[in-house]
Amino acid sequence: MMLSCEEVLDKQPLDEITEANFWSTSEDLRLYINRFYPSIGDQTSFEDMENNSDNLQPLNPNRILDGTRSVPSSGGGWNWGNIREINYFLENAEKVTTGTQTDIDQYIGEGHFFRAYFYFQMVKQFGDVPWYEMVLNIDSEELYVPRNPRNEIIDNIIEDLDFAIDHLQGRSQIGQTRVNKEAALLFKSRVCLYEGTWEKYHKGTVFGVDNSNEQQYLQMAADAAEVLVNDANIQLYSTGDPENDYYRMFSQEDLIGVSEAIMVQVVDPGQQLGTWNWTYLNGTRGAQSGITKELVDAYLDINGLPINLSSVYEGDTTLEQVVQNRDPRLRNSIWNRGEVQIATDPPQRFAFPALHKGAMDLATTGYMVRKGSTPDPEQNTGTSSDQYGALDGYVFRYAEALLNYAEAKAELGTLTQGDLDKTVNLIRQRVGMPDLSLNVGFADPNWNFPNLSPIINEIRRERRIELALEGFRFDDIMRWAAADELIVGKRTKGARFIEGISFPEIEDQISDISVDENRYIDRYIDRLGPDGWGFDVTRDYLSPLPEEELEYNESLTQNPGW
Amino acid sequence: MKKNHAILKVLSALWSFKEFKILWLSTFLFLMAVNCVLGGSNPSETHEAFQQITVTGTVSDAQTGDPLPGVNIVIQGTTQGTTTDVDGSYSIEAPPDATLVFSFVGYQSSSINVQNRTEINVTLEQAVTELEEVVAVGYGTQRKENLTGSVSQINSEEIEMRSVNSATQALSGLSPNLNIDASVMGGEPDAAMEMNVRGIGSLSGSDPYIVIDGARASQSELAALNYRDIEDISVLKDAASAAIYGAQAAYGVILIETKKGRRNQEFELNYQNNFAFKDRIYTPPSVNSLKYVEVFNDATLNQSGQVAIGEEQIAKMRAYQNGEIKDQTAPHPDNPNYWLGIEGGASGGWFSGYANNDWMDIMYKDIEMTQRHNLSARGGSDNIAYYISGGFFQDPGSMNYAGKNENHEQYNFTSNLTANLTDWFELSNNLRFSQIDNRFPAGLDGHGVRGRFYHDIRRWAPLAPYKTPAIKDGEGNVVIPEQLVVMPGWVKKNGYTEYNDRNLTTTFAGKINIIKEELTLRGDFTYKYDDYNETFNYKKWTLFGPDGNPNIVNQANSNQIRKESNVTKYTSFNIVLNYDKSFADQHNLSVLTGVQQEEQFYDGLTVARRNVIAPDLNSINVAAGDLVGPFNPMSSWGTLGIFGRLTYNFREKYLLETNLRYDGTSRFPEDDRWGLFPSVSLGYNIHRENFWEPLSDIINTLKIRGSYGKLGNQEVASYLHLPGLPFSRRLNWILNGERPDYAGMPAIVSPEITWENSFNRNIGIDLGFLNNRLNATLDIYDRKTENMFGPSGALPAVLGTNPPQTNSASLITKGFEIEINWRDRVSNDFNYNVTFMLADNVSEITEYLNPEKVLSQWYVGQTIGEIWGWKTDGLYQTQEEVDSYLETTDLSFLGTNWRPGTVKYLDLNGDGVVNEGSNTLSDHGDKRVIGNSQPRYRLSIQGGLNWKNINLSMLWEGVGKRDYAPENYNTLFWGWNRRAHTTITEAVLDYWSEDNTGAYLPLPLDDNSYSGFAKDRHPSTRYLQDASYIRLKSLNLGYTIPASLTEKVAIKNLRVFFKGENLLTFTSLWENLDPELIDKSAFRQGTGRIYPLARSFVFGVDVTF
Repeated sequence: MMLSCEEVLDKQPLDEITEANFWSTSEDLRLYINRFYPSIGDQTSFEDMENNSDNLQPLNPNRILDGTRSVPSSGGGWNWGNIREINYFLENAEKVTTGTQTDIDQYIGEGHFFRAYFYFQMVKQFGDVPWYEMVLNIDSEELYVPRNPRNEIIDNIIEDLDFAIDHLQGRSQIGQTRVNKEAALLFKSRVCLYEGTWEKYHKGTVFGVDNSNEQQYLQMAADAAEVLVNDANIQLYSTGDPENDYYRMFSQEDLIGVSEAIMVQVVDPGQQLGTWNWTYLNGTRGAQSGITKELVDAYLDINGLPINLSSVYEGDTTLEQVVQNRDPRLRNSIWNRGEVQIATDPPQRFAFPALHKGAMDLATTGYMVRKGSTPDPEQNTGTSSDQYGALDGYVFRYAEALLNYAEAKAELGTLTQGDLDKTVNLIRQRVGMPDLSLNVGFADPNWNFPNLSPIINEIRRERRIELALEGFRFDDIMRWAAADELIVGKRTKGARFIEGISFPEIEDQISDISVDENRYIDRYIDRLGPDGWGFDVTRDYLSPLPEEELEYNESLTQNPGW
Repeated sequence: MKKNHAILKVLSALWSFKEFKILWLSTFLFLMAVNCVLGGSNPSETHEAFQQITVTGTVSDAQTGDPLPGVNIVIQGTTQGTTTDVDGSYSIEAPPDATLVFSFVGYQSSSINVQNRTEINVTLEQAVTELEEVVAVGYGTQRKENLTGSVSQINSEEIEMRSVNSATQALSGLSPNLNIDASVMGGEPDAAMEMNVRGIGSLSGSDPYIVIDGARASQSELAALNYRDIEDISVLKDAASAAIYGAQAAYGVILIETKKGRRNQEFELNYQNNFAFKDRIYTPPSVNSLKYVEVFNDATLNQSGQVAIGEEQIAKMRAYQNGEIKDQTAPHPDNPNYWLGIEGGASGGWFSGYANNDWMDIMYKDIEMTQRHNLSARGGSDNIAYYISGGFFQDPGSMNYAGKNENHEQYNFTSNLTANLTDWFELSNNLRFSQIDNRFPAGLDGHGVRGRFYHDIRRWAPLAPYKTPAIKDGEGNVVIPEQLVVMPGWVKKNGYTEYNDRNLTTTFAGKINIIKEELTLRGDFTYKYDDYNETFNYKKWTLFGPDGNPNIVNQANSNQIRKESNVTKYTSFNIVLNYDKSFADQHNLSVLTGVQQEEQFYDGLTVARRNVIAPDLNSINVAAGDLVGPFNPMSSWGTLGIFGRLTYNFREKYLLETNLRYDGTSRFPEDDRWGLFPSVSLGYNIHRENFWEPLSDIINTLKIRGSYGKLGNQEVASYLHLPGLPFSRRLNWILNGERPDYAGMPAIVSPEITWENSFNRNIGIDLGFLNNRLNATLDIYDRKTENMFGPSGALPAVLGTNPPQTNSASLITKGFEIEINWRDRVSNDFNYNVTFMLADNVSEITEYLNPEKVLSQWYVGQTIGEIWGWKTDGLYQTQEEVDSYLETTDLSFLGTNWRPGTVKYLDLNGDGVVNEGSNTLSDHGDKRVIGNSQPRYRLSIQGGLNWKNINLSMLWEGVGKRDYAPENYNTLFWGWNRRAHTTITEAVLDYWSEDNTGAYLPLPLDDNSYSGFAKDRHPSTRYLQDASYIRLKSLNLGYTIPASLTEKVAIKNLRVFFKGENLLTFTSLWENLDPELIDKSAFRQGTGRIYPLARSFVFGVDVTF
């Protein structure tokens, strides 16, 4: 009698689903895959997304750009949790048979998309990484494999994305909040453009790739983007108001239905998931950051000419002057005197930047980020912990597809005026800027890349302007191998500070601010000294692997220079 | 507060006691007693008492039948008596209903009612001496002389002498190496204790296995036991005695038997009460606010060259203290709706205050009164024996202003019944019910944890006000009366957390004598139902500003009503077959075999709702805000065990015992769930050898015993081996308009997870001298714990998750116990006894995956508790001294800004740098082991004496060796801390300044960094404290009213008593710190995050009818 009681020893968890009773319906797939969405990142924080580049200047110089990173003993971005979890999904997803094939395809498609997404982050950071398609256990031999070359990983990513493109539903069916076919196409063009330009511009350096095949990747980038370029169902956002449309498209409470938004991050304070970006974006606080003079100077004048070739450039002694006769996107992106910060009655208007505030709220350069803000008083209230901000963010935006296409074609040397007209020039028309022609038509003495063709310089300029502060700039500098032109030995500067003219309201409080010989705010002279950023072009394009990992797995090798 | 003040408070507490509970209860009892007297005897019978009859008879030894000469015979309640002659015969004149008391040295006395008989022959049982005592062991009893394992006993008198809140507390100091220490709950009315047997067994916890009346009990069930119900306790310390419990008993067993009735026992009704008056010890007062500001300004001046609080405000403080300013606060000059010194809370609003408040005095009562009542009935007839008791205990807590928000009540009901249905079948039922209702005040947001709240009481500056003046309108009418603010206001108005724990345990048992006194079969079934409910009633209240407008809405923890219900059901049954037989009068054999099965289910439900609309109600229905939950955790486990024991001795000289248990648990995967746990022990009663005869007058007992065995520990989470997908709500991302649910990945499962094992060795010696008046027991042991849960070693990060814990660590604990006992009966009127206990244990890590031996983790060879720190050479006295030292020594690792008054750390390895090297065992720079924080050489001394009707007993407890390195945040030690965290008491004023260069404490600085004060507070030899102590835990003085007086009102026994707890402490520890409350892990006491312990003065009566 007693031993038949052995079943008392078979106890199953009572409040948790076990593997044995999960993975049966498409609903299970959806429940599990949902968890990966937040890993896509916060798409609403324009005030700090490019602090690692020459577009934004944080209080303390970025350590990658300054070449002051050291080899960490552990961590350092060598994080594999997401990849483990997505492989767990892909391993188990095959068991699911209940549910419509469309649903099953969609969620498995999302799974492949997310694996591609996570692996792309690893490649960007470390170059070569080991490829895993299975869930490892503590006794798995695969824990100790060497790294795979980066182009093999990229090929695997492309394979995942092709699977996703084949299986995901289109945006019109699945909506803009879930990963969709268009998003996967756009992401594929991004990955391919990254690898294509990386292989091309790092060729012959320690970061060059064996069996380099940049043409193929560039072509794949163009092909993937072209599907979107030619997709009649996707348009750029426009209300026909070139002066304000660019600002307006980033201050939408609801991006659902906005055609340019291929995929969006929805926020909703009503569901305790708002943002608190308004605290920094409404121009009252500075987030210890600011737009650089370098970015501001890159905007063309309204006549399509660079500032030092244009006859209508007014100079930059005051904030008002800076935006005068410039590409409207500049005015739409930085705070200027008189702009409405909070549309109360009477409205609160911007008067001067937070150059004088204490460390937490300081605006470093005087050019404060306006892109992504809202004057809505409802969203400009409460304290910083209250998430009242309701502006949705773009996870994938159509303009990138147009820019990827133009750049890939230009790099391939197959760009035509027709290509420009259906890409870059659509973007320019939205803001009332003149078209870009294939032969450019001017020679800017301040082109960042004098060794490259005028059209590539201008396409890169267009990308910098259109996608400013959206988190692309660092990746662009890395893949273009552009640190020698843009970073090494340089310091980002801020607004011009002429006493009695520029910021008379707060002058007594900012009189000791560091400025250069032309009176541009030069905070980094204190931090970096005259030598500027110390980026090492033989080392800093990739991150170091943590020291402990090299001990645990002897077949791992360190990245060049570390 | 002044002492005479305290006495007044005692009296007022007595009279104003809530609902006159005592009065009611004692009136009831008195009436009942009167009833007994009036109903139980009538006047005519009283007259008959004057008639006398002659009673004759003989008195003999119950075992041998030999007549006993010289036996005292007394008529109870009188002084009349006689003695037996050389033949053991006696004759006495007595009333026909008298009770005769027969007593004789070395024998148990006996009381016999005459009942009109003229001949009464009496046999007396020899008094049980130490070695003849019967000791409870697992699944049975054993004569102490024949024990081979290490078992120690605690009897009911020892427990009853205490006056504490829980049964667990009553056990401390009564058995060597049964270590019971204050937990982080300190002296809270419902404080749980930390307990272990023989020290640390495992890094993941080493709780002893508790068995009450044969059924497993949790520590909280032990705490909730009515300790008046305890008959006796056996502590099974080594593997040999615990092995019958196998995988449940890796770290010792505490076996508790509650009181039972005896067959043919006279009915007895007992009532006992206890009124304790408590005050809290180690609550040093804060200094006056002017002194406080002086220290404050010294620290800011030293740090930044500026004083924090200026003359203007100091003048205001003086004015307040002179009585020129009457109110504790005033309108804020910058904002007419704010009060000075309130807004800004703990982070420094009080900077602008000018009051002079000692928060400990404000927030803790000078005296609190607890009460305990106990009523029990006991007796038996030929076939039935019973014990029934009910108990009530109440402690209203020590927090002033709390009112009904703090209270602790305990109700107990116990019933033990045994029925002998036939001469071969016995049936019994034990039933225990306990209920604990406990409430404590809710804090403000973020103060939900009790400790944080006590911390605020301790650290709040005396400058801060605790009440506002009344607000008046233009005509001087009071619009809003005085308002309590901050802590008093919170305690009073923030609501409370309450739990109600109801526990019902019942055991049905049947015993069949298959062959009388040889072969018995016993089966029992236990059912336990525990219902633990918790209610969080966190209220919202408004403070009105000076202009009469609401100004701050205070709300406790998001203002919510939260309900938690937890039900645990447990069933267990045992079937045990026992065979006892002696062969040829020299081979004594006992064999026991049995099975046990246990199962437990747990089901919890929690739901909460914010925004309480009707704060006086306590239903979720009256909250309108967001719903939190419901959450519904559930779990279960089961065990199955087969066990056997063989005990054999040859003429009680050579003793052998072996145990074997085979245990299975649901907590491990199928292939690893069964474990085998054997033990063997041997004993040798040398005093039974013939050759010992010449010595036996002096040393009448000498036994040597030794044991070895293996035990297991299955106490891990229930489903470690079963991968579950955690399920969560409200993803931080909106998909198709809503935040969806989502699933997570199962944690990685260790492929080889299994039992933790402990291997125990024990050698003991028992000695008895001078006819067992002096007894001594010594045990030496070690316990090696293997397969402890530890890290599974470093793995590449591509694994993508934390490696699971595996059975990878080991430790060894070594120790000893000594117990020496002297008892002597000088005369029938006077006897006394003294017991001295000393115990020690040390644990060392013997296996741990930390190949580099990094000191911040466990490492092989580490003694648990070791304190790594720095050697020092006083404080710098001059800037020249600093400068010249810094020329040769790099101190940057420990801090910067060295100056006179800061600590001079020594460069021990002479490399010019004071640092910790790579912080590994092989390279630790100038860091050294400077002490050990584990308590060593725990000792206790018990003494008792009985002289005529007076009895006195006391218990001293102490720790012989312990070090304590005050942590940076220990403000009771260092005084100064970062602004709002400061506690300035008299003891910390001895800090360095140019006028006090011989100070003990360093220069105060206003910055918690290595350029500020933190650099002086690294663990160092200079500030290492000797935390050894000895404390008079308990004192008990009783007087038994002579039976001649009490018998007249049908009272068998009436005793009045005084008890005291924590009356005296001797220690060289820093004066602000209670040596029992040093708890480094939770940084509790140093910042006042702990409820202080109490000293109590207790009065009570114990009456038996």
